[in-house]
Amino acid sequence: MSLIQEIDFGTPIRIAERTVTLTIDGEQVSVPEGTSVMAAAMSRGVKIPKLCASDNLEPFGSCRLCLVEIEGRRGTPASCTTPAENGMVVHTQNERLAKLRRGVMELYISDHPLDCLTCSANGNCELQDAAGEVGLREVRYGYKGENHLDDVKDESNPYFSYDPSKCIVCSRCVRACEEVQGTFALTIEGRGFDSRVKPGPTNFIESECVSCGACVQACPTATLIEKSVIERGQPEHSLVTTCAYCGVGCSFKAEMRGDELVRMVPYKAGQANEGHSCVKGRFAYGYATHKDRMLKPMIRARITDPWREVSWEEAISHTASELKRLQAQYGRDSIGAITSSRCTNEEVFVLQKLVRAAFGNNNVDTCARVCHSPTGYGLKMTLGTSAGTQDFASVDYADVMLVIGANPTDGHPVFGSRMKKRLRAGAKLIVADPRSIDLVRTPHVQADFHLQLKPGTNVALVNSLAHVIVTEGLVNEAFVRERCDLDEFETWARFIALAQNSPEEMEQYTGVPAKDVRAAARLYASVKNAAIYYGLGVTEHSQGSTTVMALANLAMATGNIGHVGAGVNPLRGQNNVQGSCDMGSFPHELPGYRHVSDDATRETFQALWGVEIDDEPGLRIPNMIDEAVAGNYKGLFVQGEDIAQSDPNTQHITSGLLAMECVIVQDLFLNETAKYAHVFLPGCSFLEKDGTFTNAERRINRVRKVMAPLCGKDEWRVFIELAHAMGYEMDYSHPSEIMDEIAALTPTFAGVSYAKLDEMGSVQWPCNEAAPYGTPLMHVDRFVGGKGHFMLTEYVPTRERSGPRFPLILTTGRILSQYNVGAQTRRTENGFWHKEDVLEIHPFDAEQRGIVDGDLVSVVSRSGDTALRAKISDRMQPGVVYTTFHHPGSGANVVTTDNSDWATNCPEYKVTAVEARRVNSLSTWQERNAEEDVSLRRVLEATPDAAE
Amino acid sequence: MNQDTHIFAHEDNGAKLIHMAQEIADYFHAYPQERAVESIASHINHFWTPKMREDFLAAADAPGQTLTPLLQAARGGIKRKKIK
Repeated sequence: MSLIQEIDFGTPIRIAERTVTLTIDGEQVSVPEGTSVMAAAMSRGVKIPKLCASDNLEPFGSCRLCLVEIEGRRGTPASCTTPAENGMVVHTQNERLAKLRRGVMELYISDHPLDCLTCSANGNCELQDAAGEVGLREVRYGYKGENHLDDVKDESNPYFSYDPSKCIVCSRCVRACEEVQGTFALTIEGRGFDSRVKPGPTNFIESECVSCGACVQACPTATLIEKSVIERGQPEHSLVTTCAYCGVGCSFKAEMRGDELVRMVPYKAGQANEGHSCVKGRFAYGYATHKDRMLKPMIRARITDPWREVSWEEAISHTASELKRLQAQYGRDSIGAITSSRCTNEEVFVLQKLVRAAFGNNNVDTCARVCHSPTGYGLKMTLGTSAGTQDFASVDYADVMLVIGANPTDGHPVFGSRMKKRLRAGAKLIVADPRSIDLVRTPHVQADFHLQLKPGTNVALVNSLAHVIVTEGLVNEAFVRERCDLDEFETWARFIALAQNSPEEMEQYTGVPAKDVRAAARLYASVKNAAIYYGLGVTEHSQGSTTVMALANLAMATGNIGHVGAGVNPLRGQNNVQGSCDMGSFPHELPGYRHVSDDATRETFQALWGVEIDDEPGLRIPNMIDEAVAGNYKGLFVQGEDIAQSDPNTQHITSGLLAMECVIVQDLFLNETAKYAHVFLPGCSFLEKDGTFTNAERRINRVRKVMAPLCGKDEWRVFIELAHAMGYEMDYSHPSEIMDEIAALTPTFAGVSYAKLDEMGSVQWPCNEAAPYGTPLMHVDRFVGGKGHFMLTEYVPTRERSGPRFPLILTTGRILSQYNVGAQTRRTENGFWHKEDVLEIHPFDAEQRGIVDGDLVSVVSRSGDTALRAKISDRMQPGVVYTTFHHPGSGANVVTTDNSDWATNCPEYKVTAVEARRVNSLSTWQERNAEEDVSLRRVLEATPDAAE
Repeated sequence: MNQDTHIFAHEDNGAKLIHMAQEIADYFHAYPQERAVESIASHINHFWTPKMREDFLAAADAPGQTLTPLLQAARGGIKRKKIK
């Protein structure tokens, strides 16, 4: 195995209809119009020396190393900034050019430390390479002149070092921060010889830098370099794999030395991220080898007992025995499982098969229940399938973006950067969000409209947008007539045109000025390509599914389906939310979103699996907990999920867990749910897995094992062995065989195989005989179900209301540096940026309550109370407070209620009526939780036998 | 095992199921009566376990329990648990 080296063409390869043909060093080359001479040369394998150029950045022309001669032209133009032209004759190497380049290199090297042997970049330094390429043999200026060799290092960032003494001021880092990331944190300060790269008037950690790593990746020297490389040395082999954080699904090269991970480098050929990354995927992987990892199976009879390490054989045998006992005692439906959107498709598929075939019921649900289940319902009802319509690249063609209930720069940072790039190029932006998210105003981006609605009024707002479109004659009638069910459209149009849906009527609920709604609706409907992007701020409401359908209505009414730059695009929270849903994790659906009551579908599975499958839906997560509290549900297998922290109304969840007799947790860590568990099965990190993740654009990406499972067993093998112990046989020798079975049973995956994924890099489903290379855009000529269906979306206010006792509305969300329950990111240096969850409160609300920044504040709802530090923030609107739930001790979900979406039971995390007041102690729940962190997590000292 | 020291007042299952069914009815309320009635029952049949459906019907029959007219009209379409 070797280190994967990607070709750098020096400047971007342009997309153009016309090509130009030129001659380079005697060879004819044809390239798309607009391509540089440098990239044209590299396309034939001719590498022109360069330092300031990189093909993920626009040409800059500063280093003067890439000079070429062009017949008929004077001088020696820079090949990076010179576009290739028809008939051009280019010479990249001759004595004159060599001499010029050596002269340039001499100047660079005269102000650069000659410490190559001890430099952390040694062997992987473009300056060193360029010196070799130009044949530098001496530096006539010497090394004693004025220089920057004593410049002081900036070590403030936990993940990378900035050593200005090695900087050649090529500006690649500055341009990467601007062009790729869109943060504009870096600049060149000073002029001439004094020019230096600076993160503003401060150091890196105090600056606007978001630690995405683009500057480090762009740096041609060791000026900006990962601290992990400084500590461990250069990697020697690598594999391409997929990030295990958000639903963007970035491809990374996991660069290794032996079986130690040296660094994660974003993969340019990765079709989801195209070489970009965020602080989580790029740097926050230390959790995978954190000391908190539990590597041995453990069991205990009661949750107050200490854990006892056991062998895998004993753990599986004990688990099977307990599950069988429960079914014998309480009935077949008394047990079930929760699959994880952090696990691979193959692991999820096998777990749901275990439930349906070995447990003999359909009590399997997934953590997508609490995030995007309304997407599944809403898009299926309107567009015909439970998935977003576009690929990420589509946003490059959007004229208008409507971002509602999503915070892409924090939640989906790599896609957020892509959005910002398009917005800087002139696309218009409508943000609908109760908070002023970064996209509302960020460097070189400003929303044209920020519709700052009150939490819980999404349907009212989207209906009023649609009202304007219908009543002002902005409907794309040709599209509707050709593509949609016309009767349904007419019914919908009559409904939406009612005065009750007008912006003026809805303003009383939304708080958004009617004139802004009208203007935003006209903007959305006025362009060729208008794209909708939404997140959990849409789904996690009592009317989550209704809003999803309202958004689909909006897109269909304006013809914004089936072409690039448009669509309805859910931004999925976790890495494999789409995949876990595709794989049949919902209790009513077999893989491929087919209802369990469908005889033909069930017979296909029964024929291959050799068992009868229940034709009735099973329990969803909230129903499982309710049934447990009622004493009917006794055993739960929880795969890579932490419902005791992530699910709403914590005390109800833990009451349910306490009422069960066998809770099995499979995870990397003894998480909050494990405090209530009787069996702990250690899981594998994404670095220890072979499999696939499916991202928000339906892209199936390979996950590749770069190190052996630290716990000694692949997760998918655990399910096979558990099934065997329960009397049902499954037989796979590799995850590729599981994918083959998925393909055999699921029409939309029929053409998917590991061989195809290796060949294509990734593929977007549907991938089958009709679309052998996948489907980047859905519904191009017709909707999956034939016609698009308009659904009625009456605004029904949530029953969660603010009032005298609870005058504020709490809404919850996520931040850039942390990820969901924080189990991974809290165990990395990312903790630096977010040490605790805080309560963001508007200055007016704070002043009314005598709260100042940093005060401990009690947050009380109808469900419970907790205490958080206050952060005064004008990102909030008066009457609305905000917090995150990345730290278990915060107890944010002690406060949230068990209100849920009417269609799917997705919890209403985004609307909880609360009161906030200053306190001087933690809540009773927090104090008890702190005690239980110790009492319910005790592990017996391992005996020699158990440790073997 | 019952080590619950966490005391939390909680809706009983029957009341909760009636509330859930009512929310489904609230959504379909916008449709003409015939379609709304069919859609409510279909939604519940589609997503609820047989036991949840039985528990709902039992709760709906409890003395003093009243359903909204739309939900009342839909209850006849809710499938009973099959005898296996």
